[in-house]
Amino acid sequence: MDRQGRAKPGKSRPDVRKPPAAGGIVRTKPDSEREDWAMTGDRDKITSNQLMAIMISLLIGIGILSLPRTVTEEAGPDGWLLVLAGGIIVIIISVIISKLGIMFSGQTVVEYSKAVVTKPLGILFSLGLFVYFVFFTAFEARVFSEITKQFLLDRTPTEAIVVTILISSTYLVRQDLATIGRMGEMLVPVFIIIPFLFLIPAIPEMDLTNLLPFMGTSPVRLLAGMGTIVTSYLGFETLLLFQPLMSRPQDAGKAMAVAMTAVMLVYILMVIATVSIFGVFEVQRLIWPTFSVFRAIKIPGAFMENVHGVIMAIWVVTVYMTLSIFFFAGVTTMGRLLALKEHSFMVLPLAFIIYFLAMMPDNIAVLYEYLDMFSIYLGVPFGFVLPLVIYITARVRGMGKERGKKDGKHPKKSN
Amino acid sequence: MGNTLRKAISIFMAAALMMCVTGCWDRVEINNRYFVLAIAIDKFEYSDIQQQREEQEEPNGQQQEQDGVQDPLDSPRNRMVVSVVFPNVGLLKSEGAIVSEEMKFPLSTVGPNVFEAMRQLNTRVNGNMFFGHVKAVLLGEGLLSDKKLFMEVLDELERDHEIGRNIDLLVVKGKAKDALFIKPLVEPIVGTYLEQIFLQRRTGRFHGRKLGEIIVSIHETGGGLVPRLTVGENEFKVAGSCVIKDHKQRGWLGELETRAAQWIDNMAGEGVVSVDMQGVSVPFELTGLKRNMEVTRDEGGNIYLDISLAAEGDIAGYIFQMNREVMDEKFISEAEGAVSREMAAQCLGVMDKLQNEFGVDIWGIGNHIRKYYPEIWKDVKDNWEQVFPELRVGISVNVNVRRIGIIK
Repeated sequence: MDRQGRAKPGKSRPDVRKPPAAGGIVRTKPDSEREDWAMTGDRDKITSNQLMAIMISLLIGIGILSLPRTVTEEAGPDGWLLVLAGGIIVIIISVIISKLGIMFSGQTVVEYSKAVVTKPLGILFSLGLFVYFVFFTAFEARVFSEITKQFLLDRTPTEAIVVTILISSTYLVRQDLATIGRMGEMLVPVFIIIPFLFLIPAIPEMDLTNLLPFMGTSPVRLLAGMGTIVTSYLGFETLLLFQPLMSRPQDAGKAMAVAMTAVMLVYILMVIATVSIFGVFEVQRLIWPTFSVFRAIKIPGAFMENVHGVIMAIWVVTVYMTLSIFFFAGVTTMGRLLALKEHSFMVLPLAFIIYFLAMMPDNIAVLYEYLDMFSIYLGVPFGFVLPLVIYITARVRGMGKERGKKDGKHPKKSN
Repeated sequence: MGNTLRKAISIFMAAALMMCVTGCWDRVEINNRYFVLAIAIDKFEYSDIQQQREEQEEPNGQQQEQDGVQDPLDSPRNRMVVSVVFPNVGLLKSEGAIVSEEMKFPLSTVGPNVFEAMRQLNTRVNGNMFFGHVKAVLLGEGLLSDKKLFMEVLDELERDHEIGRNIDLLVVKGKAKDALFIKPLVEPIVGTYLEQIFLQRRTGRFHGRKLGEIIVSIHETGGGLVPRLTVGENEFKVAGSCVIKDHKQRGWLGELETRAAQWIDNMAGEGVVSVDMQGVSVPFELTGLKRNMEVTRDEGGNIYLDISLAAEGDIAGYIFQMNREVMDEKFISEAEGAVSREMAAQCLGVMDKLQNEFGVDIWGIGNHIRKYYPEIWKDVKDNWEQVFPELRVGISVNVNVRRIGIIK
């Protein structure tokens, strides 16, 4: 049942099933490079499409529900500009992170941070990263249960909802990243396309003049508002851990750029849709404007009156994915830190800890207060600042270069 | 021994599994669910109850004088009368089943707020009332005159997750409960009846805004228009509108005024404008209307608002064989002139009423200035309420007759 056991049949596979396996990969790659994937034959590795799917389903989670409100509170009708600016920053940082992954190929941040910023600091960083992932998972679970309780299950206790989502996610987290990736590949088209299909009947009700005046907010105010969109974009930093799990880590940067652009577009469209339907002032009153938009939609023909039920169902899946991937990232960090071969035994005990963390906030106001504090004090350092610090330090110390070359050649040598 | 332990553990696990498969806690069978289609909310006034009692009891001559004993109804807890109506869904599928023959079930109760009143109704109904399909909310005139109660009700309607934003909100002249409990001629269920009236919209004589839009308007400006409902014997009509100012009812707009207000709001493209041409009343049916608004400011700080309407439509009648032919360019341009004068006059009338009599910006002209003229808005946003009546408004209407029917 361990990894080596699984790898053996994997290795024998290319001989038998080479043609279908090769056919499954993106065709644009020259044959010689395509070999890597088939030769290493690792079912644990993810393709760059799967990385994209993982990142999209990871980023779209609880943030998108309140995003139109928070950006409008900060920037009024120019809220979508905040989202755009945040998206561009996130794309840049994720490309930098992918460079780190190429410099220290085959290693996760847990290993190379020890080399770059000395061993104690590296361990501290990884521990912090672990805590950050665990907290994020707990927030996901709690916000999920609050919303489900409000809209769907008003008699089911919060505890039961949290336990249910945690237990079902442990099932996925005990698998490897490739499983999550395949699941993401199936789900991402569903939860991007269907909500926007449901927005089409609302187009006549959209009043795009609600987005005027354009650039009425001062640039200083826009900059100050950047903090509020952090929550919605957090998650891309898991690339620090996931890149070595890719079959072609050198493609990570491109895949990340595409995934972040997709997420950014979804966010911008959502902000524009909500603001144009509700107006700048009303959006600020709604706790979850993104849901309220779907409450305001009436499908012509009245076959279905309450569209938001469908949207809820889709959203449950996105949160499930977000939560599982963060959970997986936390478990991986700990596993790498302790240099474990197998990490799945940690999942259940960790789920208990996450449960208790999730139950800590008393009510929804406190919950969102904690979430804001969390994104500023943990999210900003671990998502934006520290990866940059590690990258700059590595550059200044001239590390990774010769290593990168060696490791870069490594897969080709093995051919 | 290890085997028995393993067996014990697996039995325990299987038993523990049973706890996980108890089913959904929130399940409600569909036949236990009553789909409330309309809600009526009134202000509770004890004097009404007394009056009712007197009317009922006097003929029998057994008036019970209870001086000194406080009537339980006359308590500060009773602030609103909340009534709901739901259709008898059982009738739809009844074959052999025992169901009541009533088409719908009206219920009414008093309570301190809408939510508690709804829950109180649950003590009298054997099912679970579901508000996800509410089509219309009717508010009594009295409720809207009470700023606090009205705002409480609006908040509860918006906060509730079951009640959608795209339902109709209406103000009833008189008691909302009366409107809910009558049996309309065509369709017995008040909620769907109202919804259909709103859907057809061929007159422009009522304000077609939904709950969500009214809430946005009141939230942004404290004012707005709410469609008005008048109750008859066994029918009602939706026409005219109630002007909300400063979070409460301020006055009424008549049917034609409502329509003119909607022209200025770029909302109603339908309706008939009848003009007098040499003693003949000529109906002009509007088929399309576009509005344009421009704001300018002169050195003196006066703000000018130029509203231009471009209307098109058909002439639907003239007079048989006695005068000129309609199919004549000169006649048509005369008619166009007459219609445009009539429309401009109606618009100016309602503009004057809202500027000078009510002083409330129901169109969100302030918002328009905020969006398109941010530099003007900067100066007026703090005292917009004083600025609005001072706006110099010019209205120009450009009418195009497109068709004249099928005779010359």
